[in-house]
Amino acid sequence: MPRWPSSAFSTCNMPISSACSAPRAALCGPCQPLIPSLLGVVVCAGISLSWRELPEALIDRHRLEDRLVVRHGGADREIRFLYRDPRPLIPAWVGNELGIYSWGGKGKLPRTGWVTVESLEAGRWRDIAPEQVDIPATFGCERGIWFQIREGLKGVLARDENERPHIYLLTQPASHYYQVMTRSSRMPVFLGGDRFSN
Amino acid sequence: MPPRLIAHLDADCFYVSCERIRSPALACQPVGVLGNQGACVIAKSYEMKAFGVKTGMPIWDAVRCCPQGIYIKRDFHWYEAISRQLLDTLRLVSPAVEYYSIDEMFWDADSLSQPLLAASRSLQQRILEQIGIPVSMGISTTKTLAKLLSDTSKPFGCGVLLEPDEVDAFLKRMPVGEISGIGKRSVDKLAPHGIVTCWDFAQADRRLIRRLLTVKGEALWWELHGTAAQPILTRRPFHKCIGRGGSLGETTVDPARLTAWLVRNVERLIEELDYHQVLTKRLVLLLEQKGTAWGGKVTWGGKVTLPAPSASFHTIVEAAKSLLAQATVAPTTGMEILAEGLCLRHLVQRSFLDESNPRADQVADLKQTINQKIGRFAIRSGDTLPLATIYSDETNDYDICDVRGKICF
Repeated sequence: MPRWPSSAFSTCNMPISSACSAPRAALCGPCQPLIPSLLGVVVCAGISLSWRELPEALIDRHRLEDRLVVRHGGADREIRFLYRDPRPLIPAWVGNELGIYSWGGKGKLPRTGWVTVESLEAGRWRDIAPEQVDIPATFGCERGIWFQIREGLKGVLARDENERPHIYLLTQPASHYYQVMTRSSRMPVFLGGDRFSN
Repeated sequence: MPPRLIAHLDADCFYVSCERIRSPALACQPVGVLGNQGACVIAKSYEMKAFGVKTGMPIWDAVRCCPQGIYIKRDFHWYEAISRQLLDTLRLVSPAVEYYSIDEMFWDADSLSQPLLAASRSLQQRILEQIGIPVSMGISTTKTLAKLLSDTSKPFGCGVLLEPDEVDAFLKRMPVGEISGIGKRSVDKLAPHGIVTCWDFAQADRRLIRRLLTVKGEALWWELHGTAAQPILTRRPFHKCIGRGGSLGETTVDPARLTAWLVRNVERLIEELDYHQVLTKRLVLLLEQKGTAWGGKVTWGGKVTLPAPSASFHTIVEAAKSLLAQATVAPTTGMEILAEGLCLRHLVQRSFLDESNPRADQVADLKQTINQKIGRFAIRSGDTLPLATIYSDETNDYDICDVRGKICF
């Protein structure tokens, strides 16, 4: 017996947007071309998680039923988290607790959804003092291509001036395979050394 | 004594089915498995097929057809493990099993209980429960008929074709191109003679078939008549030719990169020659290149006969490089190196004319020893340095050709 009425599920048949002339910057979802200032740093701008991975309480509290999709008839339901959402959210394990957090910074934090491994290692985020978090994900979306994620992704949590938490996705130079597959020069950092990484 | 009944097992969407075993979230999803360099779809689920995605389609075209498709990197280590589980299961029920390809097997079905259809469905269900792979099966009196039947029974189907009138009705509705071994060229040869269906083929004069399609075609004629002309091969026959190569995952005219790919393929070829303990007399180099004026693809091919049968890295790589130097300079997307004229090492008589390079051979032996101890390509030729990113991905080390013992290639 489904937990939510069938009207809560949408079979997502969104076409890839071809409006943007930049190479493959389109997203699956409500498709709008990405604004140019983000093109250089956008990496894996969407993730999807099997609905079974999230407790009911979290789904209800954050009204995640609005994000439920069924990719194809008979397939399992997924909850999509897109950076382009009006309210960008992302799941993350902080400590031993799974929560839903704001994806990307606000206020005095960097207004982006990503942080590079290189910038962390160079100490450029030292003042923000981010903590490492794990982001559960079943599938990721890079430039309109959905790919499988085995365990999850790595991210960091930073707190704004009001101590509100924000999650940034960690990125690294793309492996050859990831580059050929997605034409992206950067890729997320995968938990467990995913097969897309070297 | 040849079996009276021959069965053909064919796994449904094998690569995707293997991935679904370890990732249940992929069930019922449109899934595409990507090839070596992530550029093309090499296998897809039925759900993705329904969107018009075809095998070999570049990923960008596939995404246009199926925006919701999920793409997975191929893992031949995993697929081989599942394939061998299928093989082991069949070997428990049959005294003779042919490992035809990674997802297809022929087997002696005489020991299956009656009724045959129920017994084969029971086996099919057992495979699904124990291994997790849906398979289709066909049982008949010949390999050709059994394979035709399993192909048409997909997905997750079973069929038995024994009664003459049922065989005739089946052949009447099957296009002749459905026969394994009858490709487009053969179909075009047969068409002017009014041979369009399998029934037409079976009814044709056997001598005409032999004239048009040689003894191989004649064997198929016998097979369609219920006479098993193709035995179940429980061991792979001696290789006539061994090849290595594939898509480059890029388009390049860079001589350094082409040489790097060439040497990489030579090193993999040598591994295989060593494994089978054979020498080669002749090398063939095939390059898939982009056509110039009209687009499309063209294949450049070159051949060289070695001074003496050899498996020496030094000899083979120099011969291969000489072929590459002769090739047309054009954007290249794929490469294949074939070793032909194979002979068993212990049967070859050495000659005073053999060109040997003891120092190079010593280096090659040392390389082989180190790689066997530490890992494949731990030591490799300096010519392959431009491909550092390819080598840094371990999954590139294992290709479908490396699954040994299959009959097909």
